[in-house]
Amino acid sequence: MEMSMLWPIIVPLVGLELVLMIVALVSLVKEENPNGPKWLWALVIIFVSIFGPVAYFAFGKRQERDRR
Amino acid sequence: MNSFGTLFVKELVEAWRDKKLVWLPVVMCILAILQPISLYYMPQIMNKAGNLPPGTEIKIPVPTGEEVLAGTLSQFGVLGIAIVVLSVMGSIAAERNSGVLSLIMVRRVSPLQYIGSKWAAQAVMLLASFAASYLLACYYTALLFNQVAWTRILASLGIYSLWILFAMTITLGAGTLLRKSGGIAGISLAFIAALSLCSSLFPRFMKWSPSNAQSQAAKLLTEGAGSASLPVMLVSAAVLIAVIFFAAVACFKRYETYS
Repeated sequence: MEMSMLWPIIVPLVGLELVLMIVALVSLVKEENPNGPKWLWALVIIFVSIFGPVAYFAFGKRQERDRR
Repeated sequence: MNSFGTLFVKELVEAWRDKKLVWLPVVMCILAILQPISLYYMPQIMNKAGNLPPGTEIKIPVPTGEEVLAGTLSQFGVLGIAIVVLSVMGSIAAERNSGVLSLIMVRRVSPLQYIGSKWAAQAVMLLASFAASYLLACYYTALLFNQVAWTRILASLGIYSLWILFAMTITLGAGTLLRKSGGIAGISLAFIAALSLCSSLFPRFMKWSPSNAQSQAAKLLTEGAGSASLPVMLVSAAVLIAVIFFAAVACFKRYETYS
């Protein structure tokens, strides 16, 4: 395995994961009323790769804000 | 613009605000390219993580590009469908619970227009993300293994899209029945899983099942032609999608007045 092959393969993957993480973090910072503590979501987004940000986008926003 | 168009555009604008237009394609792309990359590095991974005694020789036959793409699709069958469900589950429930739905429905909007606009907007987003990620996986496969014929790629893409549409329609339909997005996701995943399980347990009686789209797409990739039940499956998937869609519209009429 030549190292020259490694970079063009791995860099896009890491880049995509970084984009996902950053978008999720920015959205978390802007979110006024997240569904749970913000610091916890930040940890989940940063440390659970791929599914942390997805979980945040799916469950972290308080979609059911006005439910009684 | 008629109200269908307005609602359709509103749906896309909202997806942009929720950043769904960003995360959906990105996640799908990551899922799609993981398969060719991990298969390519499999010998190294086994060496590094296997705790094998020194001197062990592992000979893994190098998969063909077609097999790699089929593997990508089966990866999608598990995680991709979960992501489809997660991204669609809240689309009706959130609007209903926040009261936006009643604001929309006091205008002259028919349930058909409302559900139709949701369906079309989600379909465009999901299929575009899926196509982009699949093409990226094809690119990686061509780079690391071998180029797969375009006709096979496009045929499997089309057939697999049908399965994604089916999963999406189920989730949207469940969204007209229940109020909580967790319940919606649970019901749709359970339904999809049951359908897949039945068609793998009773393949003789379940030739019509839309979940066969997965195996048909894989077969198209590796062998160049689907099995004999492909037309039956295509027709039944299209019919089922239409039936669930109109059932959802009918349910929505009740749902909307329920408070």
